[in-house]
Amino acid sequence: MNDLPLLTATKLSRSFFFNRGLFNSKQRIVKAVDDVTFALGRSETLALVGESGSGKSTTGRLALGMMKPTSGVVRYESQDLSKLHGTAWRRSRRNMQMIFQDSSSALDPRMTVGAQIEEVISVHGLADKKHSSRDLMMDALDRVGLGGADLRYPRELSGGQRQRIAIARALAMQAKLIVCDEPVSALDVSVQAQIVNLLVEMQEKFGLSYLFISHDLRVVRHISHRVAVMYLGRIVEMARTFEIFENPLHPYTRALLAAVPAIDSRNRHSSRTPLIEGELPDPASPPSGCRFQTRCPLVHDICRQVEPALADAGGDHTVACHMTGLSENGGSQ
Amino acid sequence: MNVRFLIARTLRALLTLILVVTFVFVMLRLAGDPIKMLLPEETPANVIEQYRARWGLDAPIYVQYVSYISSVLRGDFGTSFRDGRPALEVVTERIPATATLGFAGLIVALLVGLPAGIAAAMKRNSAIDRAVISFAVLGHSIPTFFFGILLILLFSMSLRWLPSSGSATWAHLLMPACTIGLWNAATIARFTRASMLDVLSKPFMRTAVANGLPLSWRILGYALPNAAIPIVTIIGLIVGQLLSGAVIVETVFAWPGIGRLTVTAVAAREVAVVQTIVFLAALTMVAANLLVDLLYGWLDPRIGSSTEGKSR
Amino acid sequence: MSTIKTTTFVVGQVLREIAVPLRVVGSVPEKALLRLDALSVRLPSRHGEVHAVRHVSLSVNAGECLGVVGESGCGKSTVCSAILSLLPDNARIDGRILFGGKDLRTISSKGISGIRGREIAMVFQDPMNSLNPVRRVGAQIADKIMVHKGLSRGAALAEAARFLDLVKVPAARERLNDYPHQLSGGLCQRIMIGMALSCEPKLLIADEPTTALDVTIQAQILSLLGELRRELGMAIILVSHDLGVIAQTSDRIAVMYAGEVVEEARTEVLLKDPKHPYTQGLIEASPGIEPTVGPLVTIPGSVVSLLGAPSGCAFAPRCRRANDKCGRMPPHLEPTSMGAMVACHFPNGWTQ
Repeated sequence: MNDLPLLTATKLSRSFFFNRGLFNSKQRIVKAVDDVTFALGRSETLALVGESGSGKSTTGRLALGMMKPTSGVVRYESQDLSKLHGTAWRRSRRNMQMIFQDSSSALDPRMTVGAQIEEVISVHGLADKKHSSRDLMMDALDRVGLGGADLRYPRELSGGQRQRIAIARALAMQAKLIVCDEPVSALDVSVQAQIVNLLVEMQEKFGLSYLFISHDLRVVRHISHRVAVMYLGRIVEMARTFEIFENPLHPYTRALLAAVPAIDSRNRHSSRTPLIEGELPDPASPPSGCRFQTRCPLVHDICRQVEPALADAGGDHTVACHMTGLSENGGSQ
Repeated sequence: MNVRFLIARTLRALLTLILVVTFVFVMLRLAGDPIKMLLPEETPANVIEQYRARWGLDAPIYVQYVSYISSVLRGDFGTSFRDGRPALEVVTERIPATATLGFAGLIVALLVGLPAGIAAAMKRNSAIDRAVISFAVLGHSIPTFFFGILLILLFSMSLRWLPSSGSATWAHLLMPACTIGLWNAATIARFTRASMLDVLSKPFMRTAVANGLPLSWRILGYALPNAAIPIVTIIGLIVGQLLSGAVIVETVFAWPGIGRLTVTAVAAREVAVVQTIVFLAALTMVAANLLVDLLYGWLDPRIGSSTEGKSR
Repeated sequence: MSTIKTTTFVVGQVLREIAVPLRVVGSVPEKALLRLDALSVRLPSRHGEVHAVRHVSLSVNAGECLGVVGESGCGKSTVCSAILSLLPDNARIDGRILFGGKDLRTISSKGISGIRGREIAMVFQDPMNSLNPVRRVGAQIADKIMVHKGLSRGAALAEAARFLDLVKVPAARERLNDYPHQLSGGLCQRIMIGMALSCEPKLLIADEPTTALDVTIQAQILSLLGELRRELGMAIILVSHDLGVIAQTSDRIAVMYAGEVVEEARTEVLLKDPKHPYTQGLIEASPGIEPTVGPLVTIPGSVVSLLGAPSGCAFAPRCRRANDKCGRMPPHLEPTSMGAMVACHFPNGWTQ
């Protein structure tokens, strides 16, 4: 891995405003992402995990520059995304792609998939004398195992095949970073495994970096190098994948792991009673102190008053919890 | 129901009315000098000036506008020059006749349109469904004046069961009400069918079946309330148009309502009366829409309580 | 629960013969609460008739949880809909659906209405859309109670509150007045379950009940279902595409592929010693949270078309151990030594 990260996000925040009513001037403010900092290396996969409403998808959009942050900076190859213009901006757009849960919404139903990929190749001027846009398109389809499918329409393809097309299109644009937002959640297990394998293979071949957004920890375990666990807009724990799964420090991470319905023996009998009760609180009025305190089995007085800061637990492992004994100096921010 | 929602909708309705009144004012001024339209061409110039001064037409246009608005607010729409009575009085005395006809027509439309639409949706692709669709298409492609004349030919001329014109008894009401009613029933049936088909395919209808609820309960308690919004919208439009739609039917059946008054007033260039009718037609439409808006909030708890997302 | 009990479920003609001697050994002969006997469902489509369910024979005992697992299009949801006659009128259904001795296919529409919701209740995948959006949730539960128990609306509402308490809906009495859009997906699913239980059914069919929910909420709902089953002694058919969900909750698992049951066994047996190559593939392809090395195992190819009848085993085109026999002859469910049932010509690999 190169020392210089491909992408860094520093103190990213993003708020959404909702009107309460016609004459009510008070707005409902939801801090979907609140003070999130992370870095993504080359050829690395960072997974963002958490429940719906944790802000993981918004973080993905902010990282891509698809959405402007309320505050904070995203740097791609050391350049501030919000300050890029013209060619540099176009190049960064091309290098940063996104794959969605449902690729059919990102594909034109009236165009063959081959034509759609050729189109992006010519829009970005990627063809040259040696490689026509058609050659490049055929190459990209071959790589995802769909050689010869160029004349098919999106509706003629299965969900897994459409996901391959989305990957092929990103490859054709010579993407370096792909934000994958729940890319395999809608697929059957056997197909899901195929797409996960394909993503890993493409990463090894082309040195791609993935920001992998998923609620499924089982898939995350197999694809990611590092994992960031998000809760109500904040990262509460971040570590290498092995660390997260074998040595989870945050009670929320432990609860997520315990909730995974796995067929292997570990979770089968232990998790008959879930570790956490209740549901995600209203993001417009997050709890005081630690955001997880309303559902935390270890909650203490300090948790209700002081928000824990991310503290170093050694070995690239950070966690925001008072009960780990690491954040005595953390205090509120 | 949200009080703010109610106030907002009412204010919006008032604004619409003011715009309509302004529009009428502008159109009348654009149509040419009202004096020249009313007085004979050979009127001497000094007499014209006299009339101009008497009707305030010599003042600047904005003064005319303000005095026009203020008189409208006072309910003064000018006088009918044919019999010298206030235009408002001439028009309002016709309201009962038109309202009776419109209400009867609406009842017919609902009694025919709603069950037909529901039955068609329940038995999709069956003979009933096809019959309802044909009725909807036919009902809309036959103009009301033609259908009215057909009814007169059949029931008055051939069978001699019903009187062909006038408004003396309930028998007089039957044919014009059916003419309006069946025309509108076609629309209601079509919208009801489409809306019901949409609702019947929803997961909560399957839940209702799986819960063992009887058919009538499912239709009346579950499907119809959910299908109601488009149906209520279309009924609102129908009610709003009752006044202007009455013109043809009232003429065909010589029904002494506002529709017929419109025709005679236009022919006689009764500006004040026409103006009053336009205002009243607009008022009906605005009131019907307001009512529909309020009904929405009552029919669907999600309306009015929803917040619209805005991002910055 | 013993293996003997499982084996006594009468599943099709073949098992019946083998089951008889075992029944003598076991003390009390078990009678199945629900038994599907060679159930077939054909649904018309634009491209022809889809044979969505093919000769499915299954049974559920009182108080038992049967898990049905399979990928999309395997017919698992169609089986559920067929049990309660929720399929469209133009569906062609063959076979028998025996519930408490009665064939649900032959009883009158009035009879089936009395069973729907009262004897057999159902919970669906999409809780937010499975509740009527313009009716208060309390009224919706009360509707059902009034129909089946003949209570007044007031008494039915009180009963509704009792069942919402049972499914651990916080502040149940106040929730009765809420509309579905005011509640979260997890709460809606609890309410759906409360509604399903409100007439004390003997069998609960849960069709992908947690698929639309977050993993933490999923764990809560699954544990709730387990508790309720123990408390109320009702049987559950749990349908899911997620083998992990099924493995955690079921006593017995039926694996479906292309409209057929290809393997059926007690949960531990199925997970430890799967006989059908599709079950093996499904287990291997399901990522666990244990660390693994190398790529995930996949099942090559894709599901066969359900139009028309297959000439041999439906899984043969994707099977690593298929030979020409598999292409010619469809295998039938047959018992294995472990008391499981498998539809494969070579359940022990190449050795046969």
